[in-house]
Amino acid sequence: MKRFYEKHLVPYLLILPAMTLVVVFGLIPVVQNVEISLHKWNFVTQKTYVAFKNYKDLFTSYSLFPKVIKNTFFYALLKIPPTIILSLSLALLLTKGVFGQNVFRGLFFVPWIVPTVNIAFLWMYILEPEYGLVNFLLGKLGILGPGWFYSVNWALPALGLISIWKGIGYFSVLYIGGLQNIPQEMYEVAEIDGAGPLKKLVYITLPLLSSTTLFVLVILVIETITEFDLPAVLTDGGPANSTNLLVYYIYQRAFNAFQGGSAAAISTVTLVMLLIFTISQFRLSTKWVHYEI
Amino acid sequence: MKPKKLLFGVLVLCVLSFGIQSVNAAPIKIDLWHAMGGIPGPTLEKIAEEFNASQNDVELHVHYQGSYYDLQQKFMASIAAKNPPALVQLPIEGTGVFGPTGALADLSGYLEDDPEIGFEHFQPGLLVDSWYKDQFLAIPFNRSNPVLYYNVDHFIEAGLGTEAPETWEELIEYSEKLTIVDDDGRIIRHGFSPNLHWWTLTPMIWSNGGNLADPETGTPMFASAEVAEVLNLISDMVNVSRTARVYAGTVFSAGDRARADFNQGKISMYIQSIGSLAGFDEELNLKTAFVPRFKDSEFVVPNGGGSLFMAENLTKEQKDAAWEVIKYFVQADTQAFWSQSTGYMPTCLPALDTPEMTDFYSEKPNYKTAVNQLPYAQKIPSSEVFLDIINVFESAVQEIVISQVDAFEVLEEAIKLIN
Repeated sequence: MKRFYEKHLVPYLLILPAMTLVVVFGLIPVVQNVEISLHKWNFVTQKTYVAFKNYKDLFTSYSLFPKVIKNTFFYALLKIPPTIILSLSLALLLTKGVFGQNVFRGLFFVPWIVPTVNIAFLWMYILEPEYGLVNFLLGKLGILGPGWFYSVNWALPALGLISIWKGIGYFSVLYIGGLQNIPQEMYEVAEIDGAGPLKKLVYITLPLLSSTTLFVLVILVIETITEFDLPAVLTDGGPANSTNLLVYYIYQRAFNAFQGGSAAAISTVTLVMLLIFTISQFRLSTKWVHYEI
Repeated sequence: MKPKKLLFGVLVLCVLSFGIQSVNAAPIKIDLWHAMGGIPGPTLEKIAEEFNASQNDVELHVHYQGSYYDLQQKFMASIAAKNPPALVQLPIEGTGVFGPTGALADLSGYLEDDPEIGFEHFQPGLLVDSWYKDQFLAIPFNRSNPVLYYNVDHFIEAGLGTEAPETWEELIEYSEKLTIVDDDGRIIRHGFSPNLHWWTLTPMIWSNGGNLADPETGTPMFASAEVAEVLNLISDMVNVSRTARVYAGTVFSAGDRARADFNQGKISMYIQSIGSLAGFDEELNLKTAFVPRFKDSEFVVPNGGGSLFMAENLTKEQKDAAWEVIKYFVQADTQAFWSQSTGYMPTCLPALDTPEMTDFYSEKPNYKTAVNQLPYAQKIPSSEVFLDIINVFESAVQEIVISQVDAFEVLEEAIKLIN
């Protein structure tokens, strides 16, 4: 009897507090969200059941949804590879024993701890087409700077630029941690075998950093798909919906158009997308991530 | 024995007086949500303070909620949470957007019964946007209409005299004369800036015979040749003749940017609410005029600004208290003070006749333009879906003007997005 109690009851009692939080703030809202997505609802009047109409509407030509998905993928492409490459490069530089290394590590980390809204306002001035610093410097080089947030083509890259700048410091700290875990002997052995700097990077550093890269990648993808603050503060999703990203669009459907059902449907689709990505990422990662040294 | 009795007596007295005091001094708390930033913000707070100082029955708390858009979102959320504020200041489209929710109180009973303030208290043209079906929801408080601001120094310098263009055809001509290009081909002054906002574009669209939505049913109808013509005209001014400059997006908030540039003389004419008038430099030689019309049509403008609405879900005492607040906000003295501090027009007729107001107008005639223009004001086609309509419409306008594509196709695609 005592064994039964210890084996089947105690563990559940122990996870109960954590599970309560997950269920109340995680699972129940998800289920509710699915339920709302099957209705037409403006938050105030009675819900009317419309089955899968909200989902079907997303994929008609009458919906911005395809464009928003395209924007979000383009944004991910603009942001994720440069962030990974730049933060890794920075980490490599900052583990070489450069003068004032620790000061630089601290400095590069600063943008990460500043709230995004403040950063957005800062860059609003830096990227101002007429009086901003960037276009001023471009002008000195004889280049006519683009309109940035005023331009349909440049607004999204501008958001990407800000986001990359903000993230590099943080992700390079993760990479520095990863680099410090690589045993020095491996490099010494490689040197004895005659490996140059490039070979050491490709055959030792990158493979042994792969678990860090996986973590960085997952965080970056989630961050990109759930990006909200930058478009909300800087562009309102404009001009002409060129910076309308997934989560901002959910917000617009819910609180500009008061289409609760439609917003819930997009949320569900987003959830499914993130699930597919995360599961497939962990499956695929067994092929390229090396946890053991 | 005696001291104990005395003590008991004192205690009883204390409890009694405390009880009586708390019955007497429990003012009813009323919350008012508003969207007044800039100069109007502190002015509104001052009126609230004066109201609180003037009596002891009602305690008014005002809360700034951001722009009208933000305010409407929060108000909708508060209705959903069944906890709306007693009073809310909503923009001109508020009647149509929130009328169908049933969350707003019908105020016609108060207006019929109150000996001091009835329907005839207000400027008649201002009440058309107050009715949802047979319910009277909106008490005009900070009301405006769009006017044309122009820089008189620039006009004189360009040999255009001191009078504003009356028609769009003239305005286009004037813009060309007012625009200055430097030796490198860079434009250092634009003649005009169209405000790419549904409300400031509406007079131009109406004057050309179009509309954003059907005023009866609320169905969107901006995908028309009349609207496309107007937008192509603006796009040409911006991109082809380059005599107009646009501000889009929330960067520096487009309206603030336009105002800053007008203040600095970088644009010569622009269209904005009369409610912005108090925000300009004292030294700036500016004048306000009617928004132009097309050559073959009449002047026409939408009503604008905000009104006070009361929540339906209140007790009788709370409603009466909220009505006291409304009365204070729209009485002649308050309106005269409010109008002179901000530029919004006085919403009540008695305020117009006060000596302060007549003196003020003869000294600063710019402020009177909106009142003079009021006979040309019309009801906006608001409805439950209106916020969605203007959101989609403004995105389409940005696309047309910034990407320089043909207006009609973009509008036809955009109108399908509304459901």
